[in-house]
Amino acid sequence: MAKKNDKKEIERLRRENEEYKKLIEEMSEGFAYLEEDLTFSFTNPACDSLFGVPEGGLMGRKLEDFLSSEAAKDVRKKIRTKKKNKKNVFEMEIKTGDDKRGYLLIRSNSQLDEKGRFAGSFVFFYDITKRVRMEEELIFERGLLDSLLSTIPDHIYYKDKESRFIKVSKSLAEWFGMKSMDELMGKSDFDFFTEEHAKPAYEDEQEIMKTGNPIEGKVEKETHPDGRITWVSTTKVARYDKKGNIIGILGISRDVTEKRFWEIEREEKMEAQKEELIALSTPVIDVWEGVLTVPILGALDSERASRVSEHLLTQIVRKRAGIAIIDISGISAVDSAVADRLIRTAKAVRLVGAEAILTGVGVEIAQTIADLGIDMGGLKTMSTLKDGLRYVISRKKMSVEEEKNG
Amino acid sequence: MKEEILRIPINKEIDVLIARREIKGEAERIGFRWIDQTRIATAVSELTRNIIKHAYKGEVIVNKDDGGLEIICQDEGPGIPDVEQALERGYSTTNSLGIGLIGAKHLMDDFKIESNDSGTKITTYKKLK
Amino acid sequence: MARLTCMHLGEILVVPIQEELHDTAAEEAGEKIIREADNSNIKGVAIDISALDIVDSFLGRLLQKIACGLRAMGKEVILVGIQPEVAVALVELGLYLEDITTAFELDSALEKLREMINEDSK
Repeated sequence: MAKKNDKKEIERLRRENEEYKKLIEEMSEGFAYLEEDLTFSFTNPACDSLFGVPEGGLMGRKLEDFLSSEAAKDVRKKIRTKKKNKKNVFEMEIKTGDDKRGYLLIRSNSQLDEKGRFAGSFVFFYDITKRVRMEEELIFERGLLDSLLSTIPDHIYYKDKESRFIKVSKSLAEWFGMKSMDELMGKSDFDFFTEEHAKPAYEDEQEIMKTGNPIEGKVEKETHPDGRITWVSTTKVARYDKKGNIIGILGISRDVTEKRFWEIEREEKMEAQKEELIALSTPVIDVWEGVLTVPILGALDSERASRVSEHLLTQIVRKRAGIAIIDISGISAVDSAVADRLIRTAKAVRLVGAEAILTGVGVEIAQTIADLGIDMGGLKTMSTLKDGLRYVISRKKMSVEEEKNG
Repeated sequence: MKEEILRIPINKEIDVLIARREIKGEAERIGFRWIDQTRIATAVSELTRNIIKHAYKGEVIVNKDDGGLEIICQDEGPGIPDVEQALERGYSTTNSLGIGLIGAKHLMDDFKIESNDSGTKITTYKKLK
Repeated sequence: MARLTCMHLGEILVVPIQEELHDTAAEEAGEKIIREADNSNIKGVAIDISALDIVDSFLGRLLQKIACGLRAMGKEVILVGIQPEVAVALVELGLYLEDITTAFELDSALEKLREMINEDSK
């Protein structure tokens, strides 16, 4: 009778054994038994593949074969520690080929001999290569981002949907007079600029987040609460999450204050030059004492006529001139409007107390005046500047000597 | 960005002088050339005289914007019966109202009249060049 | 009442207008000038407006009227010191004051006036 029970028991045990074996063979985690000197004395197929060897290839090999010497020391220490009631879990980097690396999570269950010394260990190996790689990449990129944000002179800022700062470059923190980038967290443009700039900037960002359309290279005027004014060239784009939803904006603003300052200076200089040019193009020339000549070249529009009048009249008063000769032989066209302006100028000259003479009225212009029926209002006209000067001489009763020289 | 910089009541003759003097000063401060300062002052003189002579009481409002100066002369007088005619007449007319209007129109860059029997409002503008 | 100090320089009356005049004061000044000039010794009048930087259509036409009145009395008239900006404004108002002789300062004005008076006496 005992024999029959034993047989059943043995059968049961055998079956159980088979099942455990199967379990270990088929599980995806690596399972091994390491001897006291960390030699593999049992491995499951998963463990073999984790270490990059064919099935059974780990037998008789040491764990440290797959580790750098430093890592080996560290791992040996860690496994050979028997922590009472604590799971011994740690990570290690293994070399599975010439240049192949992997990362394993180790769960070690040390076995002690009757004297309490380390005798070996049951070890579970989990492949965490992927996760570690991802972490490394993340840290690397984080490092890139941080170094970018702390060194780049342009102002970079990440904002959330309410246009509040999430992350900024060091340069922006300094621009606002803050000591660290963290001080900007949760704040917005309204905390650092006056509304004159903050409002339109906010509206731009909300529009970007609504439509997804970026703003590129927009020159903006930043107005600071202390009265400072700066100019920046700004590019802002929408930020998306993985699903493609807009979650904020990323902006970069480049300080162009100096450039703008020079631009404004240049604009003002150009204006001044233009004025000078206008003055030059209608120079008032001292011909004799008390006689001024102004040759008009090109077109005479009302703006120009106005300036000619001003210039001429001021000179007449300043130089105490009695006669102003306005020469129009260089004028491009004479119509009734131009004639009207010339007459007005002449009348203003008279009011100021001098006499105006129009010269350069050639045959063509005389014809135009006659055709248009323009009334020259008693203004003296001569065909050439020479005639005008001769007339002046006779008027001033100049001596024959001077006439010879003139 | 338009802002009001002056508002002068025109009730007595001397207000004509005050208004044109004040406004000329503003024009100078803003940076108008002397010739335009005079044009503006003369136009103000013409328009405010019209208020005294024909409407007895009114005011001048001066607004400044980036492009120049806006000068509005308004009153609660009997209005100008025929605006077009008043503007059309030449200088040979003895109608001082017309002369004042035409003069101001020539001196300023923009000129607009709104007039009915409860008052007149003349809006003029001089560009800052 | 306009404070107007007229100066007699021989046969010439010099009237400097120093301050801005509103309409009534200007008309009174005009009357005063005519009264002062109504004197057989006075042959010419020089009205000096070099102190004025704004001359509008009223004053412009008043000056024309005064000049007319004086000439009607047989006196010569000259307008002195029209500033450049005033000249431009007057011209733009269409007031050319063509029947009044002009000079830009008193010296030349007096010279011109004397010439005109001498012409008359010929």
